[in-house]
Amino acid sequence: MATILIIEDEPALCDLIALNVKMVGHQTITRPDGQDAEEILRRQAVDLIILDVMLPGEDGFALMERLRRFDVPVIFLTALGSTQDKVRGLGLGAEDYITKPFETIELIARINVVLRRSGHSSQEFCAGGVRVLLEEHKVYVAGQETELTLKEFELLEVFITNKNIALSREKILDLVWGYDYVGETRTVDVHVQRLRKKLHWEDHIKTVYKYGYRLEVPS
Amino acid sequence: MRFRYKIYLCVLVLFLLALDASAFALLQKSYDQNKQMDIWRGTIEYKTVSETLNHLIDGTAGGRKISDVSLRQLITSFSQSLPGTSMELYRDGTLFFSNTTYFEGDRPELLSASPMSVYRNINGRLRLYVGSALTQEGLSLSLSRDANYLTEYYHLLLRYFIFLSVSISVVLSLFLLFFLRHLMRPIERLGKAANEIAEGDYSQRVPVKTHDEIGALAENFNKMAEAVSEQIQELTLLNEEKEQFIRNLTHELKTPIAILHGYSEFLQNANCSDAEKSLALRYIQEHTARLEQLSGRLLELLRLRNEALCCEEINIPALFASVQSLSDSILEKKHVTLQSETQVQTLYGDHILLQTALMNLVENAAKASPDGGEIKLCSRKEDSSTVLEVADHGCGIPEADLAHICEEFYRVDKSRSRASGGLGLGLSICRLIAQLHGGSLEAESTYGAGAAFRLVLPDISAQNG
Repeated sequence: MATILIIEDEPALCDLIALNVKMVGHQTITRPDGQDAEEILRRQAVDLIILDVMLPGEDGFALMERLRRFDVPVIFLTALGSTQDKVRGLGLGAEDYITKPFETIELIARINVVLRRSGHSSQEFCAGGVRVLLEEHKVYVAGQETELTLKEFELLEVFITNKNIALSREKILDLVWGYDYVGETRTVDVHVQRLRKKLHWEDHIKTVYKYGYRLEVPS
Repeated sequence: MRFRYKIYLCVLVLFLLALDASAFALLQKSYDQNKQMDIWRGTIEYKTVSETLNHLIDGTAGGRKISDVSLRQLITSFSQSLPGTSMELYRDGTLFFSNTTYFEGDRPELLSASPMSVYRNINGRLRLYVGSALTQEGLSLSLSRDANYLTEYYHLLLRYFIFLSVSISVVLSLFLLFFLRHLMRPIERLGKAANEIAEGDYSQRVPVKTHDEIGALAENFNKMAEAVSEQIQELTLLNEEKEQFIRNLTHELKTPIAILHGYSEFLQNANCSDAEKSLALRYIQEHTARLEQLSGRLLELLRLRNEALCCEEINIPALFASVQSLSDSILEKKHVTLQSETQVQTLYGDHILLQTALMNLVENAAKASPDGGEIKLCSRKEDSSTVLEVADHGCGIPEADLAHICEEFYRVDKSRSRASGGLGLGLSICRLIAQLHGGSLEAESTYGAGAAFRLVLPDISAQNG
């Protein structure tokens, strides 16, 4: 679990990002501008900043310069999609640059990449009587180590990363088996069934009607 | 070939033709004149000689036919007294005496009764022959003298003229080329400037200040260049404005679409609480409304650009009253009062468009005004225009923003926060309405102390007569 500072002036977008980030288990602080960003960074530990470029008063690029000394990874989120702007943003030391409109899963995936790179993502996941050591690929159900196949473990990882968010069968197929996999979505169903059984997660991995699956755990 | 060389060649050829023709005529005339003088002199001499000879023959022969011997004696001694002149005497058609070279040919002068002169070319030299029959039967005399000086003089003059025309040609060429070069320079400059303009340097002007046709051409050229560069500038500006408009429009469309997409995805995928669900729905509704408002405003702008004005005589107090009643809800919300003052009672224009513009301005003023504030709506005359003014005592506009407020999507509050709720199209619409009436929208503001917007509308009826 990480603490993420979201600086975005459009309240609807700000709330949207916060809601999605909270869903997968992170804490958020939201601000419509960068006025008190330095104070927040001084007062509490922030693992990642999501920064809009077009802000009232000081813009995101200028704010980034000011916040660089705190050594907190920054993801720019902006409607300015030109290559020039991207180069400028990344040149300032941003970890990533996402243009609006964006997909929620993409945003979360990129946040996770940045958090893992900076060593802020947790290596341990505990929920519903299951403990997962992500680094060691070990799974304990009620204290007993349980054997999972490689694909089953990867599927579990995808569920944990996108917890509380429904994933379509196609998306799961993409994320676990890769784009070039020529299989049927049946494969996903079979693996989900096995995972449910092995982890006793019949109540946690919910089937979303005509869509896919969702791992529901308290966030 | 360059134009100045063409002129140069034409002038030179014409000049040489004229010079040589007149020189030749002059030469011919002078040669003829000299020949006349020569003949006259020859004839005088012949007359003197022939009279003396006739006299001597008569004296010697005493009226009878002179004998060959005495004639030969007489003529031999007589011929010695005439140096430079050769003498031929014919008796009965055959040569009797000659102290010059003989030649074959017709001798018409020997048969003539009065002295006759003939020029002959003997061994490459010109000679004058004067002759006639003498008084004594069967005798004819011919005197001849070298006249080659005539030819020599002719050739001398000819050589002189050739020398003259060559040297004059050289001098003339130098002067002509110099003057032509000088005269052609403005045209060359003109050509260079035109070329530079063609290559895209629209600031180029021709530095030609002569008081002739070329000067006038340069002046007109500069005027044309000025007009072209103005047009280009206008087009560039227009293009930039259009690009900015599209950039802004893209942003205005992208944001609500990103929000709608994001929240609908969230509702579909997330395991969310009821509170989160209603928040998402509220945002979706809010931004759908915003998109609808945006499309409405854009359509309004589009319609304004394409539709003709429907002008009529407008009663201004009635116009103000309709604006007040239509803006009531906004005014009431902020407890703002609207004061109107009409110094001008009527106006010629489109009632509905002016009402729209005034409502936009009143709405802006109400948003800027503090709770319980006051907005003043007034009409007055300024020069040949009618001015409709909306003034408030609200927050005002920072000076840096004042020049841009009429641009599409421009908002003083850059954050696009919904606190003031605007799209940034209202003033664009007002400005367009003013422009459709041939007028303009003027804005004046002191930051923190209020703002005044004026629709300046020139009297259309007066313009149209």
